[in-house]
Amino acid sequence: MAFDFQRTLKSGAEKSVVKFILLPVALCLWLACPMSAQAAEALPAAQAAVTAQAESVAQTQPQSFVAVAAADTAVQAAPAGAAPAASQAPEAVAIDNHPWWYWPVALLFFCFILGVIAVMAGVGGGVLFVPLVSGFFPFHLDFVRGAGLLVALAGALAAGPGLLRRNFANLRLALPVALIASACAIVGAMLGLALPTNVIQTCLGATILGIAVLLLLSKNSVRPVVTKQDAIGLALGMDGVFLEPSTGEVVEWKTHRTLAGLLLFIAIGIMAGMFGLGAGWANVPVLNLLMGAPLKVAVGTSKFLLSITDTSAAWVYLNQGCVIPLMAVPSIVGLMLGSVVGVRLLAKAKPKFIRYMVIGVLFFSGAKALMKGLGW
Amino acid sequence: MTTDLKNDIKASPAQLRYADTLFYGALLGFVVMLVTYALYVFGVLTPQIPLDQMPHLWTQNAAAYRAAGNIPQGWGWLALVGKGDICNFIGIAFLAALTIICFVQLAISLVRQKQWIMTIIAVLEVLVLSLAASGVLVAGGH
Repeated sequence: MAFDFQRTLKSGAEKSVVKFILLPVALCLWLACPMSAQAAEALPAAQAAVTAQAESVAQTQPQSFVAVAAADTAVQAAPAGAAPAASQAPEAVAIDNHPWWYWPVALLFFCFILGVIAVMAGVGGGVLFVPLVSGFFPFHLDFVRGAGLLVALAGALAAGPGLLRRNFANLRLALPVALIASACAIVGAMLGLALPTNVIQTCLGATILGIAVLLLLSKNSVRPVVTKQDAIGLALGMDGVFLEPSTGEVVEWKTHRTLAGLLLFIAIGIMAGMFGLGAGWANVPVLNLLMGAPLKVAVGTSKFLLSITDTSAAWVYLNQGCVIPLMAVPSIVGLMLGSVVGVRLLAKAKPKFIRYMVIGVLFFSGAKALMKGLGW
Repeated sequence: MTTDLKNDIKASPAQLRYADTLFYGALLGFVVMLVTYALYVFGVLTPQIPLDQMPHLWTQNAAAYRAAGNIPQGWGWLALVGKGDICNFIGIAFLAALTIICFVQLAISLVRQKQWIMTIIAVLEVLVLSLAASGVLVAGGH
């Protein structure tokens, strides 16, 4: 049997796929297990805390470092009479008895794998980071969103110069779009921090499921046909030329349906700020499929756009104390190192298969976030 | 290929300047971020919140974290910049401010080229990002 298995791994590509899929999945499971076990350990604490809360309404809140289990667990664990008290509690928090370095180190490795997978699947790190880290790590959603924005911002800052120099990111296309998206990202960030966590968690879950469907169904066009540029696109100079390195061909492009595209960036900005997701998953289809920018320009401009959109939202989170350096820095470093390795592995692995795997992970993490938000 | 087309393939000087500022700025920001993080986790600088208390705090929301750790909102962290955890915000804030710096530079280039629509957009972008960075916008806690 072992011999047969070895024979199936003859090609380097298959080896890479197995290595870089099995390994991440195994590590993800390994990382997730302590939290599951922890949730189980936390159950009696939740029961005790909720019962105590029901028995004595006038009692003051427990000490800040003494924790209650996650909101869903608390409600399920409570006796019928205690449920309303639990649901009225402003925040319920989880117990974490690991040493301080445990989760940052786990996050570093997790984000490294995430970076590898994200590059190969053609998605930004932020869209995977927020649902997975909020689902499998003990950090509160506020800090996960803050770190998610910084992760997306760091990736965009690292990629931006190269994209601008090669003219794959176009300033004329990016500037008007960025102004709308960044202004709306501030609104989104403020909304996200003002709304209750369970509402945000529910909306995040629904959004992630929507992104998974979008990734599954959208078929980007390498060079959309734009017969006539519209007036707004013309006035803003949303056109350009780039050299296709693989063929040496000079590609001229221009946009159409510019107003509709600009309006959509209102929603994209709000969602980016609210969930800390980055917004590459939405930028590319709008720039490419709706506005008619060639895929390379859409991808390059989208990546560059994140450096502007995420900056405005990141400042709101930063000013509100939603950035914990102890967890944010390993996330950034891990994801950036993973992206470097992912680019090198891209030639060997099968990106299509990995893309479907990522879509599967998004469905799973979206459903988990949705259920967590709804208290199921 | 016409001369115009050849020139169009190249990124504009303003775009190249933006790229250069972004590159060197990001490099500097990442280095500062890593150095301050090392000073923090290896205990060279005393943190505002002891490291072993972090696992109890990061499970709570931002409002509870700020209250428990006496973490100031907005730019209040500058007063505590000598603390191990707080000094990490130097690199992070610099990375977040980099786009504002790039846009100021871009606006100046666009004014010189008399591209007024793009100049207005760039100036508005600077205002939007500066407003976000100012700390004036405070969301209600949940």
